[in-house]
Amino acid sequence: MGNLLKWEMSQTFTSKSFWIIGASLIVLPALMLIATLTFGSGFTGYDAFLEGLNNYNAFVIFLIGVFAGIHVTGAFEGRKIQSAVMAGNSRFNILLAKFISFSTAVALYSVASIAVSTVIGFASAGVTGLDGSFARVIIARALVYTVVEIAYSATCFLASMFIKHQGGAIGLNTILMLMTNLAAQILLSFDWAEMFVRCTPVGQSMFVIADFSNSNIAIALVSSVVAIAAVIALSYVKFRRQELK
Amino acid sequence: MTETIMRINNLTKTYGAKTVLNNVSFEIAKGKIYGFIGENGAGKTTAIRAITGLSPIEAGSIELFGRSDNTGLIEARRKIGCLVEKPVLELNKTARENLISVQLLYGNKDISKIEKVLKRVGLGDVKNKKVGDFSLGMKQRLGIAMALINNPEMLILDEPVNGLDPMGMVEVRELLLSLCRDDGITIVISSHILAELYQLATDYIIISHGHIISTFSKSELDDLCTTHIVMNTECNDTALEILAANGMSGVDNDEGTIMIFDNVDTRDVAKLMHDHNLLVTHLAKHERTLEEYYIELLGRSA
Repeated sequence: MGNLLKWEMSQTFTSKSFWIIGASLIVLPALMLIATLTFGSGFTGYDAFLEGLNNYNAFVIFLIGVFAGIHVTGAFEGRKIQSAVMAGNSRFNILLAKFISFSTAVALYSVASIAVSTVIGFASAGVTGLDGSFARVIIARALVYTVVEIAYSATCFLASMFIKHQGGAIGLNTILMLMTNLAAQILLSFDWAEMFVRCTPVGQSMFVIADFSNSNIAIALVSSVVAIAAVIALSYVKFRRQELK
Repeated sequence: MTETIMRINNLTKTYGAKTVLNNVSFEIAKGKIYGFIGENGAGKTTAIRAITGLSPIEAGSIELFGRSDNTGLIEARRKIGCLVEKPVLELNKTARENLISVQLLYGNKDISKIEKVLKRVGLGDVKNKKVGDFSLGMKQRLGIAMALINNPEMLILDEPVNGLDPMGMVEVRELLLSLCRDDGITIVISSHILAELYQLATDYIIISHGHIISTFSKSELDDLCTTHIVMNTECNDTALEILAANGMSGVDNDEGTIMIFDNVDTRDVAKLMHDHNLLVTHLAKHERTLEEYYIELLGRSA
């Protein structure tokens, strides 16, 4: 498993898609935040930080599906997965290594983007408006948000397992991300649906920005872990006896 | 005694209503080169894909290096180098970088192995060239290098000479022969090019419509392909008498050539003529080619 993970990480971090999408997910939300701070008014540093999270989430919807399509479906198309199977690795280990490398990339995007937005926000508006300690409302929130983003992005990982062509996977992932986000926003207008949306990673990608209470942190973490476990399980069911061309 | 390193027992595989492999069974012994022969859609690639783990099996069993359980098979596959259909290459990387990537997958840290393998396949001089600029033959040889990087005990090569020019075929053939002869690597090679396989393989497995229809060694093939002995002598009438007196039935084909259809060795015939002081001007086995024999086999199995 260790060799497989090193190989998978090497494949991921030397791929052009990792760097291009990573750069986009850092630069675009940062530019959007700079524009907001330039033309908006009355933002505290904390407001700017939260705005940075919001901006990142908006771009994730469009870009993470592209990364998942290339990372997962592209690995089947490029016969990388087949190489790993022929090299004597179990399919579960291959899937797990793939998911870990995907999640690591998503985590790095999230942490880097939030870090850049935080620096821009606090540099322009000062470390102002915090409603708790820096460690809790900034660092802990960024980490919980990252876990939620991994779980939300995992939807694209699962969808990419079912599509044979990279372009198709990218298209499906983007539609999936847009539709789930839209559905979550529509459902949030109904009181009865709020708890349901709160228990999903897509819902938490919005909730954790506004609500960082202990109970919501617990819901965010539990729902994310459940979603990640479900993605791995369902992906394995699909991959376990899959014909590899 | 020859060690069996792979056993395929009653392997069956269907795609929808079509049975692609039907109770396929064969064995692979250590240190030999097996030609896996069959028409398009015969089941060669499906069998290879099942052995290499790319295609799950429905019925039957595969035993590799004495292991047939799931975990054992996965571990045993580390002793096999594979080139299925076409090599998995990263065209924007150099040959050396491609091999480093494969080495990482196996957890092999010996960088000197890369140089050795590249030299072994004749790519030592172009190790830092982008693979995208390689010819088809060079790409195939790099594919074989990738299959060799983990010191495999067995190589499984699916159509490795497909699309190669005659020079490329010779290069790959020489390489495979030396890998078997010098390194003791067992090789299973599927190909349509029977003339090429005849020069390479020590044993043959013939598959057609998902059934194994015959397995034989090269010496068995030579016997099977020998149809008769042809002989010219200074006096064919005397030669025919000598043959008849020794229980052999020669036939003069009226063109000055005697044909002997009995199962006798050319050496025995030559000795017989020599003992009777009869000059033999031509003596040879008339043989079918592997291709002719293969077509006859398919005709029989149809």
